[in-house]
Amino acid sequence: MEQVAVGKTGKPQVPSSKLRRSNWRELPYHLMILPGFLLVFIYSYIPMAGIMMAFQRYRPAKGILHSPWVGWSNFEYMLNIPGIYQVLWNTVFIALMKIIAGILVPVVVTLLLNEARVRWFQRGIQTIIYFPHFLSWIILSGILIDILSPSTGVINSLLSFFHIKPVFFLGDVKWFPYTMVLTDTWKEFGYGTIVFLAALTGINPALYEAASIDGAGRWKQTLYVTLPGMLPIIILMTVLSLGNVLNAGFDQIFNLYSAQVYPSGDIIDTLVFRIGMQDANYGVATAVGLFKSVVSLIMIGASYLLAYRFAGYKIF
Amino acid sequence: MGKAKLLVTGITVMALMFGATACAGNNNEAKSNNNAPEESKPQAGNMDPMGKYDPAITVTAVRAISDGMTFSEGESLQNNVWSRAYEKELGIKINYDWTTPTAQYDQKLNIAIASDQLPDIMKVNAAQLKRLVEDEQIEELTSFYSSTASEFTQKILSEDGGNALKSATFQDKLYALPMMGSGLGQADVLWIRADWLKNLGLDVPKTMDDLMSVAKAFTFNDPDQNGKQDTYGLGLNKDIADKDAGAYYAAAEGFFNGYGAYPNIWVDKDGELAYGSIQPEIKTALAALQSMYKDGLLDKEFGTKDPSKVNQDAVAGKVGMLYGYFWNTGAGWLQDSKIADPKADWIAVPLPSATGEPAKAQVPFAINSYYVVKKGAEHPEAAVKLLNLALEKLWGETAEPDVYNTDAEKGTALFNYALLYGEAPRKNLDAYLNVTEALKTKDPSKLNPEEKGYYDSSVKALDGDNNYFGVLNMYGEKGSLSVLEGYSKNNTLQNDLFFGAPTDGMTEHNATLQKQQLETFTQIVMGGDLNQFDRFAENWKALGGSAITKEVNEWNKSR
Amino acid sequence: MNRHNSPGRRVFLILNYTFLILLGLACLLPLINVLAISFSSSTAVNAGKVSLWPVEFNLDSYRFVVGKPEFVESFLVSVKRVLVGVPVNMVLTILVAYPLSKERGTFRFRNYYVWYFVITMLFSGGLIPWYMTIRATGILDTFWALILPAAVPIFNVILLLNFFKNIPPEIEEAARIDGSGVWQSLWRIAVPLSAPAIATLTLFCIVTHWNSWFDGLILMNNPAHYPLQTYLQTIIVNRDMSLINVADLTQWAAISDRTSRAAQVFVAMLPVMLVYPFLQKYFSQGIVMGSVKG
Repeated sequence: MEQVAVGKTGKPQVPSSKLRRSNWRELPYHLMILPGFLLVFIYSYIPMAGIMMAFQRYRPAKGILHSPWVGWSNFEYMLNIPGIYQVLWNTVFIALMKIIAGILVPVVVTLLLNEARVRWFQRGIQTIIYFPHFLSWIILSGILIDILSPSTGVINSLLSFFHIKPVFFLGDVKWFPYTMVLTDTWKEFGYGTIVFLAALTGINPALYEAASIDGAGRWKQTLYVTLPGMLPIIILMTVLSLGNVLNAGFDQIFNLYSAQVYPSGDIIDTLVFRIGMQDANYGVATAVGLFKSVVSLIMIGASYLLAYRFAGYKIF
Repeated sequence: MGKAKLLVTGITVMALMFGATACAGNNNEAKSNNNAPEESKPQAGNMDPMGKYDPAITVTAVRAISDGMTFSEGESLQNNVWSRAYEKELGIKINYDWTTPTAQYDQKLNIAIASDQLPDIMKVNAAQLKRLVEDEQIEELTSFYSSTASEFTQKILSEDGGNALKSATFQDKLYALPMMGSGLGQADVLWIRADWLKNLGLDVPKTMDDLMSVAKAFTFNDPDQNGKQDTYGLGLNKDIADKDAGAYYAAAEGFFNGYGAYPNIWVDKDGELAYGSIQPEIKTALAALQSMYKDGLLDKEFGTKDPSKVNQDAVAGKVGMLYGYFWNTGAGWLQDSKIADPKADWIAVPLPSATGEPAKAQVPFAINSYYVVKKGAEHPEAAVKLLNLALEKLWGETAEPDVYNTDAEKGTALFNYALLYGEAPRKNLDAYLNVTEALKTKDPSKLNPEEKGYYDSSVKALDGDNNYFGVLNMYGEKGSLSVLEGYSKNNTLQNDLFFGAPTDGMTEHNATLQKQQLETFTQIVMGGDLNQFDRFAENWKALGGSAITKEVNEWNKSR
Repeated sequence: MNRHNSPGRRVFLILNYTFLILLGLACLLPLINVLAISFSSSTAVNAGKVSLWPVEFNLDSYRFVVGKPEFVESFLVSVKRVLVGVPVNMVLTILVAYPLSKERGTFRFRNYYVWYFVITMLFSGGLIPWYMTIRATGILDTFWALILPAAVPIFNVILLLNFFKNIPPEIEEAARIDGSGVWQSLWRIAVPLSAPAIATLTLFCIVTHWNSWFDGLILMNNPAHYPLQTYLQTIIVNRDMSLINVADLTQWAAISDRTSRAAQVFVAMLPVMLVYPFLQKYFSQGIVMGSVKG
């Protein structure tokens, strides 16, 4: 309700009777948001005071309010870690590829599933491809090390059947980032298709009928009805995932990497983890977190504007 | 996706909270003179080592619940033989603020420390101890220790020559009670398939050259006689000489020791302390590992295998030798190999050496846990009393091991219930000597219940039950502990000469230095340029190592 | 439906079906591997003999899992968490998403609100302040600590907001003329018309609640209050073997056993796998609804 008050002072130029009427009309909207607003305020905004730790040498006994300030030194520390730029590059490279694959593959699979008209088959495949999502990376690392092994792994026996030299997916500096993207996509694409399938159900069937009457085949219908129907959600998902450009997947990489692939596989989160193993350095942790947040905000803000400017979509 | 981000943020932050020490570059502001004793005037008689509080007091604590911890019907952490003894004999009641499985203890504790929500008594590691001292979150215990620690407690806590207590002392003030234990238990032995040696007519390797030829034979001469070339000589896990990861099984430390190289520990070099990882002997050992890798004597994929993966290979009969701790023969590890293939006869032998002189096995500092008391706690001396009682009931003259240590009938590890714990550094070695003696005389009457358990299991193993193979292979006459006993008797040990709290330089640089070490060692073994080692040694010094060396030597001189 | 497919279309369909079957297999095999491990003897598993079929078949690990009070307890905590947490999530999501789906002309403050919520997806104060806040609100170590702090899933709000936007304004306009207010429009028109989206988001919420482990670990003071995934985390993560007491070794081996881990993982996956087909049915009902709308 305080928002109503803010509104009153915020727009004095509106005639007061009209204002009162619209305030009254918008009141239910404010009421609807209120519970969520309060919960978010308490559990998300109040803890944000902790961002101050990025500029402090945090001392538990003194608390956030009284710990000594250290300016930018936590950020300087972060930037002075040897090899930090390679690590930054690895992070962005792996994360971007994951974002692209994480949109592209589910969309294609959704379209293909949409073409498989046999109901039980469609539903069966949907259910199955979504299994891997439930396996944690801890379990998967065990399975993957087995099947990706160059000497005994299933994948490499398959490759050697086609006379391809065995690939050390997890131990080769060249291959490691791609292996990460591939396995992550494998794990998550089924889950990703759920959103797109739901979007598909929202497309008005009348549009297909109209296209069919106009003589459009399945391919043309896909191109001119299905895809445009999914476009808003595709743009939305892309924009939302752009906030992840610095999240290359800690759980996955931490469980699958090894010293031999550090040059291409070490990412910000794993580096910070190793620093943290010996040093509960909250200042640097918060600084890294803040850095990642700012980058995400810029990415999301930029893509929001781009989507609005060029495609006319307002994504939220 | 947004959620994934939050989760990852959570994990990252959590990651930062594992293990720990103070931030780099701070001034040491540990408060000097004058603290707690005046604030809380102890009641008369409370400084008496075994004196009882009347009325009873309540102290708060937190603790890890280990997987093996089980309770009898009707008992719990709040109600068991130990909690009753605390209350009856000392008038101390313990309330637990929180409990957690062992694996998560460090994280929970770090959160408690960071949010300054500490219990009266808690167990911490060396890095946490240092941070707590610097941030003035814990009570100084000097006076409480000197007045309240029983003679027996003082004896056990200084049995290692006083190093344990020194490691808990900051600027001449004692801040913690070290949890006593044995460092020797973390020295490597060489595990080897005796049945394979026999098949090929080979002897136990004494020198590194022997080890090479055995490894070669184990790889190419079909030691398991199945007509297939499906074995390799030496099992190694991916974390080469990484003391925080797989140092306990299929490790490389023992191999390095064979060349007089001591990674990760501080050694004496012309009267100064020097870091083992950058000494030239390491290069020799790396060259040897490199040629073994090239010749196929190591698993080509060792770089992705953690200890349990290597153990799978061992159980599958693919590995003939590996370095590791004395308990590697236990259930879940090499014992499974025996069960899978009764012919598999794993024996423990002393480390082979390059020179023919006995190799010195490296021994890390024994103490990795400390008990501390929150600043402002009402009864800091209560912690000392709890330790007095525990050590007395477990190992003292009036000890009742069957009541307080192990319930032999049910196999319950009762000592687990005690809040403060410690054992004499020689406990396992003594058990080995006693059990072996009893097996010879067939008279177990002199054994304590814990040893009796080992004895019974060993007898079953001798009767052919492979489910107890592991115990016999530790405590029996030729068990792995006999190798450690040999190290101890012949003094073929290389102790870590630095055992203070982590220095500022260590907390600032260790993570990156460790990474470079692991990366360099791994790449050299897998066929990289051997001269990378020299670059690593130079870099190590340049990136903070020199400063650390200076700090360590200052520490050494100030002792 | 025209049944006479062109030859090109037939080739496409055959390829498509083959491809989808392969895709399904690629996703299914690891699961079968876990299942096979859970039914095999531990020696066979440790020797690496188990791939897709149990070796030395036995039910020991399942007996072990069901007989483990911690597992059963935490399973119940998780069930309760889903039963309470998901409705809370969904009601709040709908309540927040609906006003925000309105244009600025209808709801002048929507943009401020939208950014108010979106910012929380990007910025966080970190673990310690979060923990201290939850402690300060007095719900630490209670069931509500698993529900309230994450009660508003912003990501889901944004998805739902976009579905609400797609509802033609004329429908609500018509209803308003018939005299129904904002609340009625929400429950009688917007929610039913977004059924597929709401089913999807419900599934997301179920999965999130079911799979969360980190909050349980940090916010609960007693392992007996842990939700299932937190408990699983404690038995699956690598332990620090260097500190283990020799006396614990035998028991440790029984628990660390890969077979019982596999069994617990499988049992833990089961409920969500069972719920999914039902919600999936709801997706197709959404199609029917859509055609009615058209």
